[in-house]
Amino acid sequence: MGAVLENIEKQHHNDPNVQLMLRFQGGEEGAFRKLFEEYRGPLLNFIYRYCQDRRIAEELTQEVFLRVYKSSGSYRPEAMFSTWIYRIATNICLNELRTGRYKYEIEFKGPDEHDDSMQYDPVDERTKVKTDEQMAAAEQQRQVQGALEKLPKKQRLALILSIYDQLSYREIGQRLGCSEAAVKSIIHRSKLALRDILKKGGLVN
Amino acid sequence: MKISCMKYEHDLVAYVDGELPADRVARVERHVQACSSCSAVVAGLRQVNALPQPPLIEPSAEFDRMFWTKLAHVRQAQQEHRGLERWRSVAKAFFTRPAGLSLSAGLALGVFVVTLYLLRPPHAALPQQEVMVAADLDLYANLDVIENSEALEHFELIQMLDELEQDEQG
Repeated sequence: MGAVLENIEKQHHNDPNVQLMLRFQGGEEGAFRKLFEEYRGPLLNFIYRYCQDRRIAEELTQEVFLRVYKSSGSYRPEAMFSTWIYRIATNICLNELRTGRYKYEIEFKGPDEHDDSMQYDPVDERTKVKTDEQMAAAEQQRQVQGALEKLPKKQRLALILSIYDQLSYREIGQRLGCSEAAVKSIIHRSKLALRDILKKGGLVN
Repeated sequence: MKISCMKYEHDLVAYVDGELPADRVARVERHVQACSSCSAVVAGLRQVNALPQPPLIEPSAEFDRMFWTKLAHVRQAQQEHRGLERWRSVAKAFFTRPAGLSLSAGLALGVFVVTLYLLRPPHAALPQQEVMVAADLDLYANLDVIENSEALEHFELIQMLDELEQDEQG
């Protein structure tokens, strides 16, 4: 068992971000800063697509990096760094938003006060006019988001990774911490459910 | 959905996602071409997969500053924890050795005795009147005729005269 783990760890030693994490583990704080700068944007967007609240997404993204920092002592490169850090983010999304104040905020929030990217805003800051196409796209985006929010949490996460990040079932499984067969089943149910919801809204056939 | 569709139903999503094993792809394709119901499902699923990306957001201006502040707190807590752990390990190493054990037993006994001393019941406070009388004991001792109870009845007058006498002498 130990030998198998060692082989797996060796496989991931070539990942430059695993190298950075190992350097951080060895006491090089600058390596942590590089990882933070590289992953804060993608992780923020991943979490934001899930929770649809900019402030909460920022707090949870920061929490991901705090956990990376705290776990540096016990870190072992058993996966690609991106797989590892997204798994932390996934666990935070599934657990932190299930309980406590975030659950309350998500369930009872009105339009996102902290966010201006998803809201219908007829006046563009640059052009002062939004085209019909832009308004239709924003409306479609809002409907899709509404449809996603009707799905169970794990299905929603799997769909975000499949549709927006276009990951394979195997990669989704690695990020969610479940088997490829389980992902296939989750994606099957969730995509058919999403298609049904969007079909009712006239967005798809 | 037709009965003939049911055996393909479970493969449609994986087919659209390109995740279906090669040996099943051809069969599903043939069925989809012939079945309008499954063909509509496939078209809908393709549209789902082609949904546009939501607009990307950038971390706010405060994001980095807030993170590094939080991290500073974590570092401080870790340092305090490490310091505590060091003391704990030193104490553990000391108290588990035989010499340390007897010393610690003596120390514990000492602490027990000191605690008992500190927690002893306090003396009852003297009533205020008795304290005042005690303050005037000197005067009582200098009275010439202590047997005469009348003198005690006029004690306050005698006390006043004594004070005047002392003032004159002073």
